[in-house]
Amino acid sequence: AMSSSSSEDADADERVPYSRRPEWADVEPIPQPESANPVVLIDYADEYVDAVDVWRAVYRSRERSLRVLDLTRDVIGMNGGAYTVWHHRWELVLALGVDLAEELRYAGAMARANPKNYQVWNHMRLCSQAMKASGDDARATLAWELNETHTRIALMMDAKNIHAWTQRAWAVRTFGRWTDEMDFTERMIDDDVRNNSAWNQRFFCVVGGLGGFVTSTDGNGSGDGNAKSAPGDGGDVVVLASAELAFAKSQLDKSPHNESAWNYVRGILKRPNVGWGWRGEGEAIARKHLGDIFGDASRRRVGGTSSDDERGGESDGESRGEA
Amino acid sequence: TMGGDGDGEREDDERKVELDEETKKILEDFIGAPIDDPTHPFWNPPPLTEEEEAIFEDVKRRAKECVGLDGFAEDLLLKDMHVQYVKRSSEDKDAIEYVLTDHLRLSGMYWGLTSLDLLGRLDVVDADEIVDFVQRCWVPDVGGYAPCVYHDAHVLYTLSAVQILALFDRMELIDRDAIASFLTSLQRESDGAIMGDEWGEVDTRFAYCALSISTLIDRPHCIDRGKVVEWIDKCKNFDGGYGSDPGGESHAGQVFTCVGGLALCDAVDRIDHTFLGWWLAERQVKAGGLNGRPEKLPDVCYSWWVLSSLCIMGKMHWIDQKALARFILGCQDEKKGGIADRPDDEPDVYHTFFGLAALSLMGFPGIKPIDPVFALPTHVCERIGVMRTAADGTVVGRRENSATKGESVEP
Repeated sequence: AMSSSSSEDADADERVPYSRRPEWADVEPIPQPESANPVVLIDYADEYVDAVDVWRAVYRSRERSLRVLDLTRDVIGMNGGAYTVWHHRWELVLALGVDLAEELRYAGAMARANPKNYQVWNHMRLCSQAMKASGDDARATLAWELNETHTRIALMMDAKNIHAWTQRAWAVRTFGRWTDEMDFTERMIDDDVRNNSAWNQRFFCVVGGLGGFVTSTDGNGSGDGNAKSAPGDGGDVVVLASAELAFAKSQLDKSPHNESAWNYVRGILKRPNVGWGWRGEGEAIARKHLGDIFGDASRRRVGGTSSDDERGGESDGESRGEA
Repeated sequence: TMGGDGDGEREDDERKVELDEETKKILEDFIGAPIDDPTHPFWNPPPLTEEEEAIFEDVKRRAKECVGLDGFAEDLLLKDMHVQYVKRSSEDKDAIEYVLTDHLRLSGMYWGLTSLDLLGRLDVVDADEIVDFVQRCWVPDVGGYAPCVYHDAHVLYTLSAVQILALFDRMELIDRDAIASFLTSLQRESDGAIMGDEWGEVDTRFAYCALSISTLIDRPHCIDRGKVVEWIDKCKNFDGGYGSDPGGESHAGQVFTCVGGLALCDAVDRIDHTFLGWWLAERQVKAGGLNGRPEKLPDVCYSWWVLSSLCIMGKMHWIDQKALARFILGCQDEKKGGIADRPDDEPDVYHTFFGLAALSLMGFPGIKPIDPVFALPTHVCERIGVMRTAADGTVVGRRENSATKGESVEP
């Protein structure tokens, strides 16, 4: 059922192809001549098959040498999805004592070439964990900075790359950089108020930084605890919640048709320490903006009677028809 | 029972916290009405006028019309072309796509073969040759299947292998005990999460794979299902969706793995049905296709991830099925066959499978029914004897309930 690489689309460009534009209907497009590509592809395939055949041999023979390390770089360069080759490379990095910061930089460069590939990011995590485990604060700081830089670069190419965001979340949790990341999410939301990943990350910082649901062993954690997060208490959460509601409100005022911001508001309101029932406050916030969009009819509708209470038991499919 | 980590969804209707004045002011500014006064008109809107009622009834009527695919002619689906496309893609072993995808070969085969079975044309491939290849991917030292010969075993490809053998009714070739041990070794002691292989990467996809495999091979308790359910629950997000790990952004693919995983443990009550149903329904864009996250482009594969989740939750009517079907049909390649991620793009086997699977769930004529939990044709699930889920979400057959330790519930 699953693929080992992400199925995410590459960019958010919504242009209509020329073949579907009525104003171009009088023009017959000329397709790429068929001979051009296959020649290039077949050469490439030969190079790859040639390299991989050798790799299989040295993987089996368990040779551990710099030439094998270089070979893995070559194979990965042609096929970033070669999962076993990545793991082989990690074994070699450890066995040969390769500089982990250099290896992190290499993985970062490969992330630019293969941004949707799980193995690249996993490799970065392995390097980072090892740098942190060295116990040297300077190494740990360097690991954080390299993670921050390389994920930020990946997000410059695709602001919604879920792998890059996941990697950032992992690094934030591992190195305890909650406040830094809150600032980053604010910049990303300013860039694109509809960036759902940025909103999700912000929520992650809000709850994670309060020692909330995230523990050291969640996800691909480093296993040694959130040293820099403080346990949350009711008071702190409420103060943060009102600041975050104000933030969400200012974003919604700019752009009310924003699913991510609405979900964020609901998420903040549903936090247990905040303790407000969703029905009253959530619907109230929706009403303020729905009134602007849909006029008086919806203002009266969403004000709420018990029949459209989403919280009480199953609502039937009819309610989906509502705005 | 209440959620262990204080999520509070079931509690916060009753609990109120004392708001300080500043917070109260911010909230009241936001909503434009006093919070403490339940008699204020804001909290007591008048009933709907007749005109408003009429609008509401019209919306309900139109929503009902979006259900089902009556009126869709069978020949809108280019069945023969898709069969030939899938057949060709498995035969051209010099094509770059073939060479570069050996790291997921078994999954590619599963997508292609299930497509063929859904179209009733599994006969066009050589079953023995395929089954032989699958068995050559078996890694006995590990107890799992690799994606291809000479690769390492992984839970993803172990599932694909079991699925392929199920399609061909060759389950007797599976070393169930060895796989059960492999799966047991993949469960993390600390939190019940499932790793992909010995290297320790964790993702809700792997949890789904382990739950599905263990059910299909009838070793449901080789993993602690209760603990997996707790871990999946931690991956539930503030928007009702699920991510790849706790805090990970909600993504339709991950939602499927969690919803399917919870269904396999008879634990769908852990889902926030209204919230998640809404989130899933919001995936439908104007063009009729479904996206995977807010503000992203539609993609045929999300037709499956979203639709199967809605199906399991009994909410397939929460999207406009006709519009979705039109979108998927518009992604067919009329020259080569196959289905692409969106109209006018290059087709591939992955999107061909998910497009057909989604059309199957909606009952498109001429496609065999598919099970939303196992992503296998329903007749295969019947043959194996595992639970089956109907289009309206009702379940028949065995359920692997962690609390009852594998007690089977016959219909």
